[in-house]
Amino acid sequence: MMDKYLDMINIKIDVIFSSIEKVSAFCFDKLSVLLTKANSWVIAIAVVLLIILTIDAAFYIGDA
Amino acid sequence: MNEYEVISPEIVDIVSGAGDISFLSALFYPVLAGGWSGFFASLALIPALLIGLNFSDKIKNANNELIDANPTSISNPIILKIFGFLFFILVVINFFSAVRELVQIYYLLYFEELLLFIKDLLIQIFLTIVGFAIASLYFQPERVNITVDKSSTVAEDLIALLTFGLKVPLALATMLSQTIIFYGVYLLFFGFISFFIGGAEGQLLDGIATLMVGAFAPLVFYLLFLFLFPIFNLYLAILHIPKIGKDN
Repeated sequence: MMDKYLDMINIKIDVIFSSIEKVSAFCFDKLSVLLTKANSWVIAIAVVLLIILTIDAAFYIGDA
Repeated sequence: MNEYEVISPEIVDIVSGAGDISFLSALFYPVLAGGWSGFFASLALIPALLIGLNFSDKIKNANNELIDANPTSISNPIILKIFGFLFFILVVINFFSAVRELVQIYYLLYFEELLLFIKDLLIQIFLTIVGFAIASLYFQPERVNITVDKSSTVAEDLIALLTFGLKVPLALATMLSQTIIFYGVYLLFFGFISFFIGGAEGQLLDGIATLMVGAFAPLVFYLLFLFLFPIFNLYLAILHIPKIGKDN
């Protein structure tokens, strides 16, 4: 009698296990694609921000 | 008095107190020092970033070859699956505790606070997805050249488990580097806003430091593997000593 319930719980846990596996594989695939596509844009934004920082620093050259 | 101080003193605290400056961030403090040194330090950041990215691109193949050249075996993959499950659960717990912390930090009384809350929430969601992606390697150990071999000894199993943490950053070097760069640019962008509005330097320096770490990350992972993996190899050799002469 109790074996039946334990088996049912085991099956449920296995379903959770397999869904975790699927979710993590899905996240891996989508994240790889997203980061590959966004990478060049992200670097371009970083360079622009650093240029702005340099321009801002140029205004304070005589202030040190 | 700036516009945030007119709206709410709490927001000034949040905007300007963007965390303590870490050691790594403090290394980039000359950027904000002003004068010629500040100017040259800022100017040096762009070539440093591009050189780091170039190094990372070149080391990408070396990282893959290093994984291929160092196979490890495990007798049963179930232990990795259990660790993967635990890692996944830890990522979920970390997400909810971070959200709880955010709710405690921001009172959400003002629109600006809501924006800051959304900003921090988005990055937590992103980091959680990265955590899930890392967990996927536990379920597919062949990606890090861990083969399932029933004849694998206990010592080999142990080494496979111990070196798994070293192999993951190497296998995901490109993705982790892109993730850290993305996070760095995100911090840098909001650091700029904090810096020009609230005069806060912490988040800006954190952003620069994170960006640079991301640019050089694959090289760092390669060097870490190179220095630490031989220790495990040596340990494996020691564990094999009792088997010498008994193989046949």
